[in-house]
Amino acid sequence: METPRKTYLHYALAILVTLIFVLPLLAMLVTSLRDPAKAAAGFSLLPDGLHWQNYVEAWRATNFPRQFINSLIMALTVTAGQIFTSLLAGYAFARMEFFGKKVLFLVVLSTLIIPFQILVIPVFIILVKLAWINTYWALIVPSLANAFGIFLFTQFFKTIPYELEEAAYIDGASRWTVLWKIMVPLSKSAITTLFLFTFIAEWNDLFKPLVFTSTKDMRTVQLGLTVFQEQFKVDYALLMAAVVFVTVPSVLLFFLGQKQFVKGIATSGLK
Amino acid sequence: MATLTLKNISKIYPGNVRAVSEVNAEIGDGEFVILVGPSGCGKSTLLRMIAGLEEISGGELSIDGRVVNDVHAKDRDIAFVFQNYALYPHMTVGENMAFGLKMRKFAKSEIDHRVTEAASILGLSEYLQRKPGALSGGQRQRVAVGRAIVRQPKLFLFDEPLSNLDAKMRVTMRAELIKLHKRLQATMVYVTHDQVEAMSMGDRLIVMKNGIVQQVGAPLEIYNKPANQFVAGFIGSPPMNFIHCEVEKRGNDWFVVSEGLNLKMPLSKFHALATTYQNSDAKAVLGIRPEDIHEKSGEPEAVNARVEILEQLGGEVIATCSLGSNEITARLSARTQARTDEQIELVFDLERAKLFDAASGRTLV
Amino acid sequence: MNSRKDNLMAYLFLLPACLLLGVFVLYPLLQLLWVSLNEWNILKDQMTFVGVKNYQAILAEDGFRQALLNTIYYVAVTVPLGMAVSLGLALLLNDKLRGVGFLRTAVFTPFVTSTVAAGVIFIWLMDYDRGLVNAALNWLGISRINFLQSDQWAMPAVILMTVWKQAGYNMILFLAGLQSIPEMYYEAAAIDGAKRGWQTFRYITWPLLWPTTFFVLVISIIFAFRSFEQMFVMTRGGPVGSTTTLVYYIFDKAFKFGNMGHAAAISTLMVLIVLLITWLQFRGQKEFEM
Repeated sequence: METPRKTYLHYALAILVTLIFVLPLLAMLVTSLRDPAKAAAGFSLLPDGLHWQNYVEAWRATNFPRQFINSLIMALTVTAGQIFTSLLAGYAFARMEFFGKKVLFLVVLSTLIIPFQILVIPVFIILVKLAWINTYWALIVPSLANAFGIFLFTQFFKTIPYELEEAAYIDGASRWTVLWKIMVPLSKSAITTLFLFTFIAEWNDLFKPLVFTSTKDMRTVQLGLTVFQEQFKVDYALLMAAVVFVTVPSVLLFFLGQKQFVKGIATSGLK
Repeated sequence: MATLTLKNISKIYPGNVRAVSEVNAEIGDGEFVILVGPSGCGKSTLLRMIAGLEEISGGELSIDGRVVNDVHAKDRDIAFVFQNYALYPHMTVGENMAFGLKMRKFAKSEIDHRVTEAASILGLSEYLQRKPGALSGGQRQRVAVGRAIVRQPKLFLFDEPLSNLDAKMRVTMRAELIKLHKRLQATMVYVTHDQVEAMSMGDRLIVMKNGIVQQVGAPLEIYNKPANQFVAGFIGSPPMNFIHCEVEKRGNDWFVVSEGLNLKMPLSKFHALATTYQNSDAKAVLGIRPEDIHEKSGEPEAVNARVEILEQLGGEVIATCSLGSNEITARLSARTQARTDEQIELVFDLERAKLFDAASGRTLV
Repeated sequence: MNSRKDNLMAYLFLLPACLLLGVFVLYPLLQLLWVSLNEWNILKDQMTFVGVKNYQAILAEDGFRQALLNTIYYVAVTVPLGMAVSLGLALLLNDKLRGVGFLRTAVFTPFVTSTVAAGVIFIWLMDYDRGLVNAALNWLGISRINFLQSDQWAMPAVILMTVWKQAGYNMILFLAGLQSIPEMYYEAAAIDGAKRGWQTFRYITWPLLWPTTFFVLVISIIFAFRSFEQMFVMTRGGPVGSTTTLVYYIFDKAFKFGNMGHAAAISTLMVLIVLLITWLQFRGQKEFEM
């Protein structure tokens, strides 16, 4: 057991280290509300008033509203699509017997190994051929299936007792009904996990919009933020305001679903 | 309601593991039949094949004369009560009961009517809005039964439905299921490993071991005329005593002989003994139930045994006694004077005893 | 259940996911190899087979060699540093401290901010005149450093940002690993006379945590290996190519210079490296599963 004195020290150290860790974020919040002229002149952790105007200016400067809509469309569609395709495939892998199951599962899992960045050239060529470059299709369709989600649901479905499914068959349900009426309602936590992972990843993604879009009106928030940063170089008050509102959706979702999110990571580590 | 016919039903798992072998049975309309046997005897597999949850490897299964081997579970018009109830945890009690009717596209009013009625029969009316997680074991059990009865199926199938309940609740539910069967007059097949449940509930029992049917019959028939040593030992509590012995013919009389035991068989068994044992000195197993051994002193055929353990049950005393190297259990009256580690005089009611073939276990006499 | 019907149903259920993964992962993997053996003219959409010419060309390039060395440098520093920091955090914010949930959440938050947002914040923190880091250096009497404009300091700045952003994620993995070590080992060690602190860590925690550590190691290498966004935001691969990693080099080749053949050749080489890492991971896993 730790002595009380040691415990206090432990607390003090933990708080200190955490503070250092969140210092950049705290500084960001403070600076986003500072007087733009003073912020451009030098760093300070002390606020000099609440200049909410920074947010309004940043929001209007480079068409963030349009970029928010683009990002929302991309992130929501990809998330919904991934949940759908993963539920179907996960159910088949967890509960159905079919020829080639083991091999197919291995093939699906192996797609996790190759990062998207490495495959971007052939995918780009495919999208060019489909004439999808600079459309929502390019941002959405390549991400509609992901082995992580399939793996997550396969594992989760395996924990649901077989008898529930058998009871439903006797009650007259089909495979399809069992999936949507029995398995899905019982998988809320896994679905929440995948929703958070996918939405946050898509919302935060820069690479895909950077490579697959070319015009201003197709930009997503992350791409928009890099452009904004180039234009406003040292106008740090406005920059930080923009960083804040670009970051809010994913951080907010994380706070709301923190338990599921963290559990998802932890289980992926323990396997 | 329905009849059920099993013709040479078998289940063979990959690797040629025979879980169920060539089962034949005819279950009549409105009959309450119990599939009973030790765990791993294939009774649950057989029930699941009847339900359509398990593919039938061989043989023919008919419900009401129609072969249903390839009919999907949902189209067999059966209800199944699972051992762990399998209630849908995300639905209320009412929704659980209504699900099967909804799937079959019943009218809302009809569903409500049936659910309300079933709930009142089972005393669940006030729990309809609750989720299964908020119910006790006994209540969950009732919901599982309720889910079955609202469907008004041709056939009710129960897979050890009481095994997750505590002893007291089990007795209550046993009585309720018997009442329910009387009320519904439905055909029911019920799986259990508990011979007390089997004896008290069923119209007929099908006793199984290692995937093979050992005997089919009414409870008392099975109790009094077991087909073999396994059935004799499995049905009845405390179980029947088995004593390895020699059958000897001396003059016109027949004797069974074992260590500390030299008994003359009663006249009524002579004919059977004579047809079975052409020559004397055959090995056999004598089977006698604890209630057929009486404490009686001064009788010429009395046997001296030594009392090892006395289990006082209030209404009676179960005595475990040693007879040479044999150990036997006797059911004595509560007023017995027997003391542990003392001698006791016992009389075997051989009219009710059985002789089993030492090798095959078949009942011979 | 009826097996023939099940087969068909299962394939229908698998169709959407497998079709997408086939078209956007497996087919591209083959296509990548093909493109790397061709010269592709985007404007004419014309492929000319050139064999291993693309590979010869990139292997002879200084730029490629620099990108490879930069990647090795980046991975070799980011991974151990990131792991040490996150293990330290996990030990500091472990369960024995009541009410640390809030602190953990705080440390984890950078992970859910986007790389672009984190990059912009770090550009500002590293600013020569207006940044926090230089203000601190100045206060300590050390001369200011123009981090992102220096070919010496740009990479460390990028690494610092990555470690900061990634630490919370690894910390969660380490915390889960720590929680999976049964308390009884610590009790046994205490009875055996091990002192709390270094001795228990050395003889109990570290060996029992090894499977987790190994997993974090693999994950960190994979993440570090595919890093691109932090370089794009903070340095655009510069100054003078000092933060151009392999993925960045592919991006430049393909989308700045339009040389798809070269880019595909580098990508193919990276696939081989990824496969090598995966193979090593499997071998390592077998080792401690025995």
